[in-house]
Amino acid sequence: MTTYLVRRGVIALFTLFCISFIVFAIVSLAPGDPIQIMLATERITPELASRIRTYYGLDEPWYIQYGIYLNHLLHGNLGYSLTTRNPVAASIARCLPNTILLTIASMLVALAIAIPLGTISALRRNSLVDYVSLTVAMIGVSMPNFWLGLLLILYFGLQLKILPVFGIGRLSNGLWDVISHLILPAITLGTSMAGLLTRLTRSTLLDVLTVDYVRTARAKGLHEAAVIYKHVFRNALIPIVTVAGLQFGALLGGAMIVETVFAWPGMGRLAVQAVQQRDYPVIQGTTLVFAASFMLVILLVDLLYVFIDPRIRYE
Amino acid sequence: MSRRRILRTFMHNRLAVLGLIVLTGFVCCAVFAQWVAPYDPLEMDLGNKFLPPGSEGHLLGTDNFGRDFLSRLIFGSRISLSVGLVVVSIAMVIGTSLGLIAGYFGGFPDIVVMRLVEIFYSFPFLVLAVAVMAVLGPSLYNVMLVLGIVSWPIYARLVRGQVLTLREETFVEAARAVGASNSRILFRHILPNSSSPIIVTAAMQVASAILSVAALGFLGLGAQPPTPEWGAMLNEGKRFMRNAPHLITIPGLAIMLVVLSLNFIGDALRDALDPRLRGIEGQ
Amino acid sequence: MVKKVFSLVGMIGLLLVSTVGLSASEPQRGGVLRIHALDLQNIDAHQLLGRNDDVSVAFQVYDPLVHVDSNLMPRPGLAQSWENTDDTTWVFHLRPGVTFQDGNGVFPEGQGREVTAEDVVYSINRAKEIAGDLDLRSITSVKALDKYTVEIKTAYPDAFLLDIHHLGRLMIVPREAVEQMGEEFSLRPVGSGPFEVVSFIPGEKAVLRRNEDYWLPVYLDGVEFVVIPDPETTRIALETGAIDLIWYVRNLQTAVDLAQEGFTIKPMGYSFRGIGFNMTKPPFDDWRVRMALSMMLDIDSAVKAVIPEGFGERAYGQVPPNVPMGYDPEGLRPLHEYNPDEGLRLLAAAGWTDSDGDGFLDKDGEPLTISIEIYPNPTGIDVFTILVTQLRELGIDAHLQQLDTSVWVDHLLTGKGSGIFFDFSYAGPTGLYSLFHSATIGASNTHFYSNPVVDYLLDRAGRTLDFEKRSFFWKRAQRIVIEDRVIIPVYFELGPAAANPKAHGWDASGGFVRLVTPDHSAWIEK
Repeated sequence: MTTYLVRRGVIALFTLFCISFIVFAIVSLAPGDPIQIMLATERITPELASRIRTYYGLDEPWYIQYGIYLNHLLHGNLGYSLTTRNPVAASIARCLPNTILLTIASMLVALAIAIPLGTISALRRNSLVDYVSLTVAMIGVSMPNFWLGLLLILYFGLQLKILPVFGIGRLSNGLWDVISHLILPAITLGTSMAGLLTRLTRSTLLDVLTVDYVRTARAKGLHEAAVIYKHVFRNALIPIVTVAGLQFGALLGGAMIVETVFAWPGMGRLAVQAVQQRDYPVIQGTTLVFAASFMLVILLVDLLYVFIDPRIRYE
Repeated sequence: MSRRRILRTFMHNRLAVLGLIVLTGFVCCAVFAQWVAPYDPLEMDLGNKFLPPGSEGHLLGTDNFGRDFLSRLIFGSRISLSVGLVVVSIAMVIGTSLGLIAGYFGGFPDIVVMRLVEIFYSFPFLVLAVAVMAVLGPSLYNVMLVLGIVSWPIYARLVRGQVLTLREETFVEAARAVGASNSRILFRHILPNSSSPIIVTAAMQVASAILSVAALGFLGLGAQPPTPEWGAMLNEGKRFMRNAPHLITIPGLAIMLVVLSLNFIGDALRDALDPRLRGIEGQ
Repeated sequence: MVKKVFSLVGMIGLLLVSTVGLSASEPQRGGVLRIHALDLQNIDAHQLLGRNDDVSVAFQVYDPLVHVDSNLMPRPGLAQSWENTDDTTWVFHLRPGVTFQDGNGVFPEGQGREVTAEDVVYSINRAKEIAGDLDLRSITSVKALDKYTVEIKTAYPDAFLLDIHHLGRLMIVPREAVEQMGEEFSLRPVGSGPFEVVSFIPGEKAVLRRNEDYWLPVYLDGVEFVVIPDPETTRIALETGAIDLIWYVRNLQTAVDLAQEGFTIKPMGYSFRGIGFNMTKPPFDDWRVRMALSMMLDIDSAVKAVIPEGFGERAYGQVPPNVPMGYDPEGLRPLHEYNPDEGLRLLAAAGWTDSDGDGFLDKDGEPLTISIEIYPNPTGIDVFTILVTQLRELGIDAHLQQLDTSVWVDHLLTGKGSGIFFDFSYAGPTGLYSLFHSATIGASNTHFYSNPVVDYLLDRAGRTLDFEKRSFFWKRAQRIVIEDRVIIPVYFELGPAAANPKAHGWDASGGFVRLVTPDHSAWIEK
């Protein structure tokens, strides 16, 4: 197992490098750079513009720029934002915990909806309960995030006035401050993920429920719950865990729209804004963090496979 | 697997039949838009802005330029449905193939495919979309390209996970013992048993593809005005959410109907194709 | 000029309810004003780079050398008075007794140092080094003549020296704080302004509290700037009372709704919007094509359909209504005529006819395709969608092309785009120069327009300190630009600010929030 982990680690570093390189290349190909916007909107004089350009090496070909960046990176320097002059590491350190918090909360909401609903649907297949719960799960997926978010804000924030309309809570203001700000965005994100997870739970449970060894277990006279737990669930978990992991990774990649609607200061907005403004150091920094966290999640999921189904082995 | 058997199992599922009817309706709208739609979707009538649904002459009301919303919805189905279906088809084929290979053969192919999955999936979609469209230009084709790029990994991962479990199953061992070739095992035994997560995911991804176009519209990319496209209509409707909510709810409902239909159809397909469920009614 | 101010007031007065200065009640002390921001990143006085929200925060934390009022005319700030001893020499007399904020890491409680001429010299030199958004290029030397007197020499007579893009936004900083705090200065700066920084979280909020020793009366206990990126959420935040002031409501429909709900609406500032041409790119290098397009657009009805009464007006030139120098609707209106037939005739003369009968004009087998490049902004897109539809009805294959802002900018600066684009300029007297002077080609002159007569007029105006003469040159230059059809002016957008009716004494004109100036001081009714 240790060799496996070490190998994964090395491959991960290599993959990180690839991703960082590809992103940098694509964005460099994209027309426009942050200095240009400032020039065109009269926020910078041409003299200062050329000075900034030279200082950051923006006139060099992109592979040289990447080399310079790598050099800085290896010395632990993530650089400074071209548009705000703030250190990239500080911006990421501020946004990342917020994103992680929201992601975990959303995932919990999604699972809390998906697993019960999916299980009920599978057990009462093709009944009214099945159809209703499927429809409910589906609504979350087919509604645009911002619509659901705004509806929730309108109802709970404006109409009922029981929840804050925007922003993130601070622990220094108490636990309720954190939770009250977290509820609506987590529900918004969670319900949009719950659809797929519900359906997946249902279908994999159905797959497993009819398999021979379940029939055998039943025949042996095992208690229904034991049957469900011991055999059904553990086998159904693999695809559920797969998708949950992927969605978790994707969420870490930034739920930009939800962050925008709820004014949640997370990585999603940071990253997209950076791309729009061609703020290369920030783009690079956020991409690395996303990729690294995503790969970490995948690794954890793969390890989880072994726990769930001991027959799976990794050489 | 006889065709008639499959058809019969399918038809038993009433929701799926309903879904099929609804979906066919939308597809007809998409294909025959010019004849179905009562007005030109681009025609403005600035004196009749924001008419609510049920107004005279406009079944679904009008938008902020006085354009007939029903017509825009009908023409929009053309673009939205094609984007969804094209993207998902491509992603499903690529992802499933790669996933099968990775899970079944393990070793080096597994490592390669999984790295590809990681690389492609690690790109935050919106970031990649903005970047790609900046380079290639903001057109719907490029939207489909970007969506395809980020959509296939989930199939690969899903299928791989299924295959990892399945290859240890007894029926696979039995097939091997009998001397079946790898491809035969893959296609006749493993693939059908992995099909349900694929079908389920595919149905959902059509929805997310359409919504992704809306997400891109959030940033001004995606379908350009005045093109009627459901995602774009959602975004334009957002500004008028408080004054004319029908501009958001109607495209939203349309998307929901398409997604629901696809899902019920997908479910029924899965039931019909699953060799173990054939002939089994109810539980 | 008085007439212009009156017409401005008249225009706004119709639908907008204004309470500044008209309120009969007395200012009350206390309360925290919460203000909306789109983004907050860095409030170092000289690293603002034109980020409007950061500038708004900066206006509370620092004192500018001079204030600029809603007509963009300079008013006393830190400098009580100033004069020109000759055309290239300016002497500023500072107000004595102004101190930097105390009770922080730089100046302990009770030991705020007095602001002197040396501070102004230091600040101007620092700004020249790193403040890209202040154009201080004409300044050749800055000297402290004595404790409260500063002498500035310019390379040539600079009529725009006190303009909002030049000294009009120069904030004074204490050298000790900059040197001592390093990067921290961007997050928790020390200035001499009406409010001190309590905390600043980039991307989230800025919390300020009253500077008890300020030289003007400060009624508010504190101010908070809160980041809310989404316009609908912002509106709801105002409606629930979570915030008190949105200083730029970008969606005009929202502003109309808020006015109906009883919120105070006041003008933020005018911006010019229009169609711009890249003069070097065919077919727009042909004056007949540009002229034809300008005649084929029914701009009045497009503007009227989108922009509610009182929130903007049809534009005939580039200089907006709140800039007394150069605003010239009477002079320019006769140059614009809506005459589609004449336009088609002109196009035919230029070789564009519908030779293949497909309903669209073409020439030599190529259709006349017009792709107007625009960055995402709702009002602009609405108006331009109508314009594009009008052109299509007349047989021109026209459409809008929404571009990522960076790409849009890149196309404009490098000339790579379609050649026709959504043109804009922020309010300010220097707009004409930025957009049409050949010296700014490759930067803000995205039209690649080079006309020596216009250059000469703009230069003369820039060096004429006398207002009337300057205005004359400015208007002539503008007139030539319109006659050359470098742009097709479409509308002036009056950005509205919306606020809690209990908030008084604030001002958002000029594009930034100003709470405490010699003319007014913000307060909240209990």
